Amino acid sequence: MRFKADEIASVLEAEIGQFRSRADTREVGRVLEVGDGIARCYGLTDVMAGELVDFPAAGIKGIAFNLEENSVAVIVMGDYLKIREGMEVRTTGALLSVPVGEAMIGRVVDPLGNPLDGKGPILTTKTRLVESNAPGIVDRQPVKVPLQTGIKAIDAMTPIGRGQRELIIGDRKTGKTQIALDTIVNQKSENVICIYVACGQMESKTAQVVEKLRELGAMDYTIVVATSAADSAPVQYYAPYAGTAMAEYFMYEQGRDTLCVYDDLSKQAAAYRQLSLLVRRPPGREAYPGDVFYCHSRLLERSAKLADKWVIIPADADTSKTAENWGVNSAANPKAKRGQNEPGKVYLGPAGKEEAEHALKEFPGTKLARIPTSGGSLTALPIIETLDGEVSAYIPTNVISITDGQIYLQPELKNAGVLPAVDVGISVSRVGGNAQIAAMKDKRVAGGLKLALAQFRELEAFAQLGTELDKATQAQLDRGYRMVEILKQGQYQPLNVVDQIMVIYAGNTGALDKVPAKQVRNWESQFLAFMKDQMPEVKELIAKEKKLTDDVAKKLTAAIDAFQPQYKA
Amino acid sequence: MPETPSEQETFKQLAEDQQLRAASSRAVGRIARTYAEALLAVAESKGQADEVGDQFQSLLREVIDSHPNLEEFFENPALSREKKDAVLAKVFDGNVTPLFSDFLRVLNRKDRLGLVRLIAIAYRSLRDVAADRVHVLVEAASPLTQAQQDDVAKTLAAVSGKTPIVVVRHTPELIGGMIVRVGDKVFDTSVRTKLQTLRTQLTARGTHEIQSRRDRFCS
Repeated sequence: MRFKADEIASVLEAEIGQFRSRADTREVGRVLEVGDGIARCYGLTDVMAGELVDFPAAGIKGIAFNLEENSVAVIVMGDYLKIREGMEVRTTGALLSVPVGEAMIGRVVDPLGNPLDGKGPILTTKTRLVESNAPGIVDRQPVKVPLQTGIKAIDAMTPIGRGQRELIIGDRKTGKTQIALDTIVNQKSENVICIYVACGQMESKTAQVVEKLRELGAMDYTIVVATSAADSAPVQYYAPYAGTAMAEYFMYEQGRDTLCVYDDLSKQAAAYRQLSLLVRRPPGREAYPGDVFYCHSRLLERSAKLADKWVIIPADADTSKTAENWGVNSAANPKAKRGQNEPGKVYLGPAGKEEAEHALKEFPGTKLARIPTSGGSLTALPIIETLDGEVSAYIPTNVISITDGQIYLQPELKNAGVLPAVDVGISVSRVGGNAQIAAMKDKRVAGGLKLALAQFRELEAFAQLGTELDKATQAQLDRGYRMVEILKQGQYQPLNVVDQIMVIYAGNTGALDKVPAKQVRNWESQFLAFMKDQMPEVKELIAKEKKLTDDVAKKLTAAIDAFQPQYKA
Repeated sequence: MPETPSEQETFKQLAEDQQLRAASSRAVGRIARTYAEALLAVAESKGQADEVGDQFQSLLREVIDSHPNLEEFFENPALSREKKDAVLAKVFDGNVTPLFSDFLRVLNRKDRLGLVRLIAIAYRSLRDVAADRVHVLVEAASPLTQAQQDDVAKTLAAVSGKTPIVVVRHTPELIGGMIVRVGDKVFDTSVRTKLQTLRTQLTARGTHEIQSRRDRFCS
């Protein structure tokens, strides 16, 4: 490819021609002291809190973090060692923003959007503010579309909906990141843009994650925002906000579904604590500043399932490209036709849709169309690392109370070979139930699984005493052992939701009772292969119906019966 | 162009203002300001604010600036208060108003004589604020005529509503135009800055143009 030099030159010539010289007015200050990523400056009288400031001599930007009586504490977004005492600082009147857009997909970037993967510059001209307001009540709709993680223990027991915030919490090395990665890998055919924010992680771990995602083809729809433990605290602190801004672009401007993994927020809180202590904000519990709750709540509040928008458009218009300015009626007076330069009426949410259906009757030759760029979502999977299972520490309780549910990972389960080590007894999903598809929710599938496991946990203690048990109790225990086996799953092997339904249905209906517990996973893989090769019509039926009607259940039972003789132990 | 004594004084005061602002975020700056405020309040109640101001200023310029050892002497904690008191009496009694010499004694008693320079600056700056005086540094590419300087002063007075004390520094590096600094505000019309802005704009536009064409090429 060649650029035409004269073409570029003519653009630049025009630019020079249009260059209007205005007096450059700015507010300046000088650096008093600098250290630990913080520059204390005097001057900058009219600087705003959170404003981007510039150190022109060092070519570094900073953010006015603390406005004090006689000085301003600026957090430096870059190499603070280049800043010297007495250097000039300038206000810019702008806020921190990051590049966003399609070009970011598949890239590994730092929180300022600079590429870290050595694949050259990122070709995008769009930016978004790193800190932005969460959508309000009218802009949202309830969570009702499932986000399939591909993990049986989660999709069946603690389902996650698009727009939900589900916390993944557990001790070190219990597989927290693994759950998030499996979820990302499972979005391959789900048309969800994924953002993995590594906050204060080991560089080697991030490299491993990126490599694995690339290997599994997941980088085609994933952005990785990486900060290592060696990065300065401000950079670590802003990483989750930057990642969210990148996701918001797809949610707000394209109506796409997005998934943000924050790995992990305990380290981000620690970075924020460091910053706050360095600027001498008063320490509170565990030396975290008073607003560490707000630091997480405003981040997670940005997750949302946006409401659909509707417009009344001419009957012959192409609905796939509908835009907000297509409405035939006036925004100011929906009963009247829209004037030449008037904005068209946009109907928001289900209430708006009803209103629009009503209004439709007054405009013959029109139809109602959903704006395709509306109704996007941002699902958040924050990760919190606990110390020795201590969930009542400050940050874990904060984030538990902010999120719509949590997935607990237990080291005991991991040691006992239950992987993923999800403790289904204490994990909850407060809104995900509405998002679960009916076939999964059915009492012969997830419902039965929950019951079987709850009974099993009660009886398990008895079994360990070695007492003689009656037949019914023994049967319940045996069923429980098999259910636990069913929930086990290998790394990077997310299962399609239909496959999950079939396996759990088989377990619930007793198809596995004769199979030794150790053979359950073997049985499962053979069964799934059988269903794929010999009974694809049953799979298709479940996928189509999304419900376990009697007909579907009958066909599924028949398929299981047909498989049993073919099973090779 | 040689600077007139009054210009030299303004330059000095500008530098001192910066020094005071830098100090104001530390304890010494706040202490100096407190003493200056107290002195000003007493002097005003006695109607001697100007007199004390002049004496303080001459102490700063004629005594402290020309005898660097004096500040060291004031600061030195190894010397007793009595010794310092004796020196103060010998030097100042009879030469300055009783209020001012009393003030210096109070400073001595509180072991704050070392801050006398900062207090002097703070006192002057408090009086400047009260009288709506601002120091304005104008950096100009070519020397300004008196009429031009007056013009700048008049405009600034109209804009800020304060009395500007303008001092001009000849800075040929600016190529053309000038930079006016009023406190933290900088009004920059210099050719140097304009060229820099143009340069960044052109780079950004050029990159944008190249990128957007590559985008088209890729898609």
